[in-house]
Amino acid sequence: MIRRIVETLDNRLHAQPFLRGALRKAFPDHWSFMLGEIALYCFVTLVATGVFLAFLFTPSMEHVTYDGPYAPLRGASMSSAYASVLQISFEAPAGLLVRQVHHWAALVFLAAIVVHMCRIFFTGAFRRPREINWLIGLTLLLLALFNGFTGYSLPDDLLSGTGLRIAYSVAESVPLVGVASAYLFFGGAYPSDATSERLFVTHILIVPAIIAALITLHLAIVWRQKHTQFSGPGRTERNVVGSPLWPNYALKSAGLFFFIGAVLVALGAFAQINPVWIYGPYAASSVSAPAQPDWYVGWLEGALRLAPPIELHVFGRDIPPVFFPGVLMPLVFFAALYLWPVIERRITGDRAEHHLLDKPSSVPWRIATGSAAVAFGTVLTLAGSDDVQAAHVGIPVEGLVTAYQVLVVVAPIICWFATFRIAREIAARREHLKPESDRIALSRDERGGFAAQPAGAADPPDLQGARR
Amino acid sequence: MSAKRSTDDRRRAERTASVSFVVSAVAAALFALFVAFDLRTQFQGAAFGLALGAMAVGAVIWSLRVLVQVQVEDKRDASADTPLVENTPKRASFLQTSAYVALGALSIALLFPFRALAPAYGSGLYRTKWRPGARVVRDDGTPLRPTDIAVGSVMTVFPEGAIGDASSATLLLRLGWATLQTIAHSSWCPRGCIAFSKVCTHAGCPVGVYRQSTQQLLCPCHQSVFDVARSAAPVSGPATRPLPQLPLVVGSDGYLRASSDYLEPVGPGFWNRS
Repeated sequence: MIRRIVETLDNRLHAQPFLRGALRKAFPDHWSFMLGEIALYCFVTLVATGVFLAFLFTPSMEHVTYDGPYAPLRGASMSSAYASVLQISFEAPAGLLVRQVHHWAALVFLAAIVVHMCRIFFTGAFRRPREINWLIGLTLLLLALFNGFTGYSLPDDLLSGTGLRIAYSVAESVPLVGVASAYLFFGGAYPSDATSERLFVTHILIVPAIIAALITLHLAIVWRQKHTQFSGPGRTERNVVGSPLWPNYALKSAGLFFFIGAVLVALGAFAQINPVWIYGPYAASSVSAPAQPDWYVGWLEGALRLAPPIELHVFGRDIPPVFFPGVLMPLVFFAALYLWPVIERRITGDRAEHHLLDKPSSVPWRIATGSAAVAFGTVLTLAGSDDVQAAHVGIPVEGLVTAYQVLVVVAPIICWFATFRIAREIAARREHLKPESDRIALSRDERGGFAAQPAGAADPPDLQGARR
Repeated sequence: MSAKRSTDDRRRAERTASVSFVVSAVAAALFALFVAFDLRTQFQGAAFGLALGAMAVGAVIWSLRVLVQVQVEDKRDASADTPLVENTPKRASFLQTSAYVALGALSIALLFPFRALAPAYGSGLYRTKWRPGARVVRDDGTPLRPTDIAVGSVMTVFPEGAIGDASSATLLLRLGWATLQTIAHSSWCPRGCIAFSKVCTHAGCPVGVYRQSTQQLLCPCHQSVFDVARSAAPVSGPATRPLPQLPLVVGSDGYLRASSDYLEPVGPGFWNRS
């Protein structure tokens, strides 16, 4: 049956020459190459669950009185957006499951992208000829972050409404175009009745379409340029060694897809996420305390909390305090990431093509810089929930803020030097163990004398033979 | 010996994989039943998660234990050094230039319809719904006399007719005599009643927490702290400006009224604020 279909298609498309090569394409085996796939499969899950949710969600600020099955909110005034989320959660068959899987998939999607990016960074996989895919990947990260935010803002609950208010203030803080762009995106002064529709179209159409297009491009480029690989016997700059796409790799990857699905469904079933009925419907003059965003916005929330109270007045105009941590800092951070391939090329002067990956420790200053950035992001993310920590430990939040303010400067510096030292140590040790170093292998003859062996004759067995 | 063992292993792996696929099919059927009969989310999720998980186990075992493990090698093409387009003219011709100009003009022109998406901002940026003489009411609409507020307490109030309006949300407190002496605009505080904008001057969250013992207002979003005794000046956290104070009077009917709107824009700053 399948053979007949394939034959029919091939007769019409003449796909054989392409398929013959494609099906035996080599996919190197290394656990870290799985991270991007995890992100991809999260995106598939997001689209599948998102389509389901989009049909049941009502993007409208129209006021309704709740009369559904959730007793504590019966009779409460709320937007139809919020009411439809309650309907999805309590009435639609499998609605709550799909909603929670969708939210978990978004959290894991962002996490997978970030870890995947760290892998690319630390192994130098972004170097020529893969700079384009580094840029596309970063853009995907930004889009995913943005779409995560618009997504969890849709239900119009008290928690996400507060987040939107902050986002509005940050947009408004940009010199010259701030107010205009905030009005453009939110459809007027906050809170505007138009915001819900804007968020909806952005979240389910515009951004996902761009993400899908960029993922396609990302993968097409990977296909065209072929995978990178770690060095090993038989692996050179001129080849790729790995499992053939069909059937070994395809089956393994299908297994990963189902595994990711299983984990996300289990999380959606057993780990409650974003219970908007507990937060209550949004009211502009109310706030839920403590208020925490999804994890990937935590670094921005933390930055807003830690930034010193600075407001600038220039030419009689106003640059409010949220501009620096909310706009300038992320701008500089991402600009540095986008420019990193160029920065590194400037430092090393290395313009050659690289298809063999670096061991992370072999370029100490790169891994040091990367871990300093990770430390910076981690401290900011932790600071984003300082109120919860203060309440748990029972200390005043002001003291904790001061501690984090010190830490956000000191931790990256310490991290840089510590990582640099450790990496250099590891690299030196590896250099020492290298089989083809300038050491000479000796052999002993019957009479007790020593003789140097010809080079290469007595290489020690390889410590990391090709994985089967 | 190893050949025999590997065939045995392969057979066993094949069996395990088939069992996984059967388990997956059964779990999928269970999921369908659970949804049809509207069982709890946990049952639905467990069944569907098991269906996917068993599928994963089957596929991975098939790939790693049943299939023969082979390694293939792809050669890389050497990068081409010849330019793609040869003999491009050094100077852009008028034809090219005019085409670029047309494309540019077209894209800029296409930006203008976006104006429809951003309503014009009139006075909304600078004014709230507080008007001279507007009565101070609670969120259920009850007007307030100074004696309705206990000294040391706080409540959220709105101008009459604009309950729930985001920018008009106001905190009403009643201060003791000693504290009142430290307030700059004490003439705006009839009988010790004092009103501050509830919109945080940092990022616009509602300033929702009152620490009575220290007479401090705290914004739960980014922990800005405002000292009531110093006219709600920021004393800690990222906020830079005090919460604007609303001028209050007691009307002839004995109810609290605003004597005007806030004298400065409430909430966070923006470029053309001043």
